Amino acid sequence: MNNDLDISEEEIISYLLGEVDNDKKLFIQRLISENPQLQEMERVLTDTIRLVEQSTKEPLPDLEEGELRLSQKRRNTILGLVEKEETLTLEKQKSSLPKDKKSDHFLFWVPLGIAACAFLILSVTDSDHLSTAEITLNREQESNSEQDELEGTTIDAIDTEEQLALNLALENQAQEGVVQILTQRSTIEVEAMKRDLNNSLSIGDVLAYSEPIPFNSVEDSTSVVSPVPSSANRSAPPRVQSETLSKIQNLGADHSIMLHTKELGAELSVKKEKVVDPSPKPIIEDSVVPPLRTEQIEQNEDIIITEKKRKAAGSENSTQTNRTSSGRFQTQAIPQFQKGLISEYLPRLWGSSEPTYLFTSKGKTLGKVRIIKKTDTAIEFVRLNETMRGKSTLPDGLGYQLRLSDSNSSTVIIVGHLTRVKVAEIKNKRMAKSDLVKDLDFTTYSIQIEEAWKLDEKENRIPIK
Amino acid sequence: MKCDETESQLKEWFEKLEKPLMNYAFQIVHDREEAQDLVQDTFLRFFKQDEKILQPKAWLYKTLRNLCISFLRKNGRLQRTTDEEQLDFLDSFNRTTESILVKNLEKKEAVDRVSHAISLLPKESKELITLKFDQQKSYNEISKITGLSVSNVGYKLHHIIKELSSELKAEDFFR
Repeated sequence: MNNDLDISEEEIISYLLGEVDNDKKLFIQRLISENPQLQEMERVLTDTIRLVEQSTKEPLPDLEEGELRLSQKRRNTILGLVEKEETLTLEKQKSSLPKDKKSDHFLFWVPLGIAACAFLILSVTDSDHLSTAEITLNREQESNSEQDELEGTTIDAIDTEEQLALNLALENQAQEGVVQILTQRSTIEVEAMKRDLNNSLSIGDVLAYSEPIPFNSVEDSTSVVSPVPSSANRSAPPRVQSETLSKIQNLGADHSIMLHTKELGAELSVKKEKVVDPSPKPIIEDSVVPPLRTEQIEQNEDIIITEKKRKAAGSENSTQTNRTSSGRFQTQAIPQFQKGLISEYLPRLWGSSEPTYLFTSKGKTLGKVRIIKKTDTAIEFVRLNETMRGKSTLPDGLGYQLRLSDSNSSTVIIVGHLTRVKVAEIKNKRMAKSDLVKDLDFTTYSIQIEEAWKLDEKENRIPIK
Repeated sequence: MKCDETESQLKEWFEKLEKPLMNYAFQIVHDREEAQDLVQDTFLRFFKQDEKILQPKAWLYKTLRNLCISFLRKNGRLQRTTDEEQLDFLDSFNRTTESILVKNLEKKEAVDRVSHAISLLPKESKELITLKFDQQKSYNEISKITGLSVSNVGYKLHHIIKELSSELKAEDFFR
């Protein structure tokens, strides 16, 4: 019943069905005529009653009770959809919650990522002032420091600036390689050589050369560089009877000077051509040769000995043929080199507690090494950071460099031919640093000493004879 | 669910209206299998409906009826085509004739809807409807026949008509 109206819906239905008396009929008619809302109600009810009257005249066929249900397959389809919809709804509700968490993660990681990028950019910018090799060295030293901690060894703290300067110098030396050593001679060094040649022979001269070093520039790469010692001269070794010299002779060491080819630079070649005396050096008598002392060795450090082990066995003073940049060959006189002097200097190195590092001929760091055996001509060592035992074994080759410090904390670089003495058993799994210490199965290497340098206070290379 | 119904409520609607809708579809298309297809389609549309459904029962009936009519039209079993042809033929009778024919068609649908609703009523209610609207008996006469009081007969009949009018109104029969 509508309270706003003066008559109920039931009364209107009774009126439409003819179940009210005349007074009530007139009363209802008047109300309906006065009220549009009642008129609308009357219209709907009249139509409904009319439809009911018609429907009773046209009864519809009915299904039996058992036929009114959908088949089970259809029911499953419908109800399955309901459950699926419900599941999706729940998933949506669940997924709406983690979104906040995801946004939290996003808010956490994005600034962190930006900070990391900024750090990397700054690092790269700083590293622009340094070289890649320097960075590598720094990283290697960092890793080696970690290794030292593991091993319990003590490494003296190196001032950062000094270390950077040292690394820079090392990088310069290493990247230039052994082949280009001659090109890097300074004027002072060349003048020193000239002075030494003009003056009376020093012990260094005697021990270093059995015949003159032909520092000739290569004017014509097709011709044999002059002067080429005759076979007679080459067959006549210097008669030096000092203890060191005899050791040299016993060792039979023969090294060749690295060839000076066209690509080394014309300017430097001219300089060297001027200062080098191509004439053979005279044989020195025993009495002339003073006893070898450490001081003398250090005084003669300015004389550069750059040599390479001659491949041709048995020829002490043979000529060596090298290929120039033009692809042609030239022959250089190969002087004799005495290793004994280096071997006398080396004992001073062993007492140092400074770490020793290994580099390739191109200056690439190969990590920290531990020297396990040393002789006058070779150093045997193991690589401490060889995480892939057996697989990361270094190949044999020339130009490997060991960097170590002597008792005066001066850096010494030893260059030589690397050979594998014993290869560790192959381990397929990369070893952790902690395991490196426990596992004693290292690949053992030996480096045959061919030359040695020392770095002075200004990081200049000074050869050690 | 789009009509803010939970799974249990949806199932409740299904259980409640499965039989009536099945009967209604059968009464229109006179084919049980087709009726099942149409009812299934109706419920699937109901569950997939994106818009909020305020009156689920009215929505289901209206949708099922439209589906049944579409089905009958596709199968040529509805006389609508004939009516339309007559419309073309009787074009001279202007739009009034057209509206009458459309209204008659809608009226037919409404009658079927009411017949279906009555068919779902209990037997006692069906008897009251028959006595009152088919046999034109008064409340007193119905009271004597059924043994119910006059007021009770009046109450029950009023209730049936009110419910029917509400459903028909919800299904847009009274536009």
